[in-house]
Amino acid sequence: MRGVLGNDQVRDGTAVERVYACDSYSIERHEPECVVFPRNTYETQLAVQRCIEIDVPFTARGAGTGLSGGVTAVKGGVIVSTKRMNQILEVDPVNRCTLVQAGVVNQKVNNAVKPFGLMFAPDPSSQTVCTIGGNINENSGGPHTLKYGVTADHVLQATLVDSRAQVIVAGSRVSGGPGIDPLSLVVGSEGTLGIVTEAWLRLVPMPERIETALIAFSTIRSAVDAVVEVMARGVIPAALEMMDKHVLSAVEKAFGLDYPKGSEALLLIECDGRSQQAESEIRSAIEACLDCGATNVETAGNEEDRKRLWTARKKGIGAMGRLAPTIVTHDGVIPRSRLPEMLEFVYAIAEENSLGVANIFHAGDGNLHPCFYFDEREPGTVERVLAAGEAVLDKCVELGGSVTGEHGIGLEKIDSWSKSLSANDLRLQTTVREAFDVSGLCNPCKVIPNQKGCVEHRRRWSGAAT
Amino acid sequence: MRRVVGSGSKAAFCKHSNLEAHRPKNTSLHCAPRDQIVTAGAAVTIAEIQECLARCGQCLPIRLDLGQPLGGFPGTVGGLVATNMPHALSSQYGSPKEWVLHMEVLFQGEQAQSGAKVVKSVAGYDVHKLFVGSWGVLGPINTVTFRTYPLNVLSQGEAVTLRDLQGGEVWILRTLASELDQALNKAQGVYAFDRPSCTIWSEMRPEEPSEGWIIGPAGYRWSNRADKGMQIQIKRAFDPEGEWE
Ligand SMILES: Cc1cc2nc3c(=O)[nH]c(=O)nc-3n(C[C@H](O)[C@H](O)[C@H](O)COP(=O)(O)OP(=O)(O)OC[C@H]3O[C@@H](n4cnc5c(N)ncnc54)[C@H](O)[C@@H]3O)c2cc1C
Repeated sequence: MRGVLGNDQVRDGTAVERVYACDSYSIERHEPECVVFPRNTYETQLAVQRCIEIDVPFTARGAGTGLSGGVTAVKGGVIVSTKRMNQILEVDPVNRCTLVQAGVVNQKVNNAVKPFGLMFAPDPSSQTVCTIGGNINENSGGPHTLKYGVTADHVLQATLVDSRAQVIVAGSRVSGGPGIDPLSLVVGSEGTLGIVTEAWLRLVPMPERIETALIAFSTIRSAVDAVVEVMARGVIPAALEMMDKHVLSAVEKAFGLDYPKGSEALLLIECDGRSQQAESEIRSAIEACLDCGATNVETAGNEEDRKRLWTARKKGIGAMGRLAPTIVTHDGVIPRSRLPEMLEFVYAIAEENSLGVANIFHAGDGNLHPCFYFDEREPGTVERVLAAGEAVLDKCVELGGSVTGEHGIGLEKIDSWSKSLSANDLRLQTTVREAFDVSGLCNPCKVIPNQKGCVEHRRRWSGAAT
Repeated sequence: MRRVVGSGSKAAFCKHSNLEAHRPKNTSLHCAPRDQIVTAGAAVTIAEIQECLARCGQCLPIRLDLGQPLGGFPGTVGGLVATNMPHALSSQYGSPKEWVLHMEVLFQGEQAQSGAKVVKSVAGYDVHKLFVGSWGVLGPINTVTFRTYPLNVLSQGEAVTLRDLQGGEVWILRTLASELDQALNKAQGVYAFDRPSCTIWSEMRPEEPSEGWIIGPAGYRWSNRADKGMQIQIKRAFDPEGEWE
């Protein structure tokens, strides 16, 4: 590798290997043999070429904030870090797009296009550190996905180095053309189809007006009814997030904030767009909530208020550190109308397993993030956490949903996902993998179950949250 | 070799052929307005799905009235997805590709599914999205689940219609915003154009823009996209016997 890329761009040694052994899913660790830092597509191609020559697997890594083990070098080999591919190459305000290297941080893109009144809409909670390459490969979402859509809806074209070290360009700056669109496969492929080096991103105008409301409910049931009712009235809020009382009590303790006494849940609703539209939408949303029994409504008069209303949502997970030494967050999706049933199930399963559970999640999308909190030093706890997590995901599937709304399959969910697939469904997925990962060296052992030479993984839990 | 045919409303855009037609027959239709989704068999017509959704205050964001002069949406769900044609609300609400959440398709003779019937899921590769805009070359689509929109979005749309079709040919061009005015100046026999999505519908074959694509009569397709190799690779992997045209 050093011969190909130069000393400066290759690092190895115990310290480095340890740092690059996992992402934010830190329970499964595998140390790579070295880490390379190409600066552009050409250098990435050289690195991949070398991996193929010496028959060593390679895995792309952005910021390592992934939550399902996507960057873990399960079979060792080379980690291709995009850290030095961090340039914004072009901003084209007329055509509302920007060309960036894969290692550029999401927030940096937004900072660069803001002067033009534009934004890159996907806003994962990790956006101050996570990279565009990571967003594309995980098809990331965020609180504003409800209205603006996921990353797939905001990527126009991606350049990647595939598993044969060929440079391919998928998609086009002009969307919607005739024929098969290979870009749809690349987005969300979790680094298994190649290494993305550059991408043209679609930009959208920043909203003229943002209206935010924080609404309290005295029962969980009335809050989830309100979620369904808001949407039934023809409003698609920019964000519709829910926090239950366990999150609130953590936030109250941590930040000294007060929420209306007797609240079992809060909904954070944001509507945006042209001034008139944002105003009338938030009014309808609030009315819907009141009709469902909301007990308190607080709206933001200015940006400072807005930030305060978002505190529980943005800092809730961090604050939960106060409830117990360990928290584990799950990520599942259900049809929105099944939220009442699902939440009842989550509380019941926590109680059955003597665990604490708090819910803070993208209610509008039906994307649940139950956080179990516990003390892992107590004997038997870990087993109970695993059992509860598995029951939650099974329930998501049973209710017609999905085992992941944003964290991806990675290593973590290979089993829970694949057991819901028929043999034909699986063959459809495998066909894609085999068509593109011809060398079998590109991020092996991820997404698709039963790959050759991949050890079966242990049952485990994930320890970070969104 | 066979060709998948819906209602045949886009036949003018396809190569003439005597191939055996495979007509999907599934007409099941299930609206779940509280979940913001609808699941429809490929043979359900666009009018039927819109009618069913309208009863619950929802819709797919395509305007049937603006659709007619622009090439039309008299067709079926299968055709809507397989052609992924531009429409008058493309710039605000995207194309069918953005609304499709789950599909059941015929894959090498067997039914297989991809995606999830919820508004958000990142489980596995989005294989179903390959069928969007494929014009049938990967084989037939059996059912599609879409995300739905509030009915009031149908009052939007700025497409400008200049004249009626009157049996003329239809060419569709899309380009970058920076090239649109030039393309409009050069275009002959313009039926309609939609500035926000940079799309022009014309009677005469348009000049190729530096970036963009053209769909024309009798299978005419042009685009400057660089992923044709990948398209071929996908076609071979999915349809190794070359069963579908
Ligand atoms: C506190 C916190 C909050 C989060 N909030 C959200 C959220 O709101 N919504 C959400 O969707 N996710 C969220 N995540 C998950 C994670 O941040 C996202 O998935 C993010 O997009 C990953 O970006 P990354 O640069 O860290 O990628 P990494 O973790 O480095 O990589 C993720 C995957 O993408 C692949 N990859 C990365 N770069 C490339 C490339 N250039 N080419 C090919 N493959 C590549 C890797 O191989 C790996 O499989 C959160 C994570 C944390 C820790």
